[in-house]
Amino acid sequence: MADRPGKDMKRAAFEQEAMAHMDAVYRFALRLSGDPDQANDLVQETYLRAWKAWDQYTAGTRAKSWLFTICRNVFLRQVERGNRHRATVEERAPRASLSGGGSVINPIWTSTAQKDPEGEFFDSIVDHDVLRAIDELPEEYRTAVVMSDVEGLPYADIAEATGVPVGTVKSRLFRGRRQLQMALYEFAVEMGYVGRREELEQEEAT
Amino acid sequence: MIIDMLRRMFGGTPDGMDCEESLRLLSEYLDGELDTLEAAEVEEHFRVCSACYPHLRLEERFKERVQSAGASGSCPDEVKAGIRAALEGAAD
Repeated sequence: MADRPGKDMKRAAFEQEAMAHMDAVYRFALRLSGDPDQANDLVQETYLRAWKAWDQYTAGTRAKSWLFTICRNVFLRQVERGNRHRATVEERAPRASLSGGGSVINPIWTSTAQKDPEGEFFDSIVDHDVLRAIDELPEEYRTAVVMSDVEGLPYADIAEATGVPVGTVKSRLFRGRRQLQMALYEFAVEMGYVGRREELEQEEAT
Repeated sequence: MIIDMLRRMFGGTPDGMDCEESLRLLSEYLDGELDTLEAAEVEEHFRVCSACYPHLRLEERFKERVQSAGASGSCPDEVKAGIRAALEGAAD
């Protein structure tokens, strides 16, 4: 006979800790897949797997990170099954003096600082275009940026969820953000919100 | 180097964290990944260094914009209902 009170307790705990993150998991799934239907499937599969594995979850720890881990694993398996080639990302070793490789000076900010030091051009870019730019990032970068900048997860959680060292998370964030910043900047230039600066063109040429 | 040029132009901070170190730690500072002491040093540098301050503001604005765009949208009600129904079935 089923242990009804035990299952009720499990369900109550699951409701409180896991179900509370359904919107966040959905948004994450949508950014991973870029497709609302696939995101729906991913969320359902994530929660069914989470329910089955709930006994392995330590109550009160980071449920959102745990759910993101499951969601990403489900997504990657779907991609592999579909024989689709996931974008591979060149993971250059970070320079010893830098947290994530590349120059510490952001050429985009240097270019923008004089004319728009408060970054008002960001307000001119609608959500749809920001999301489209995020979706165009390689998967590893996109995952790191979404987990950190959208969901506010600490580096350690992102590292655990993606199975890489914290240093690699920093590197992915650095490169992902720079790509995203460049995409948004290019968009703002195209729309006439900011003027293109020679310094950035020179920086890009080197 | 650009940093040296900026420092000459705007002064920077004679004591404490320099421009390069502050810019290197900027993302970790905004991500809340620095310890209290390091965070305070970075904060102080950006407070007094007019050359670096725009980088802090622009990076902040970028993060805010990505966060607000990314946090929009929610899981469709029918998906939520489907998950709850599936869990009910699994629990019985």
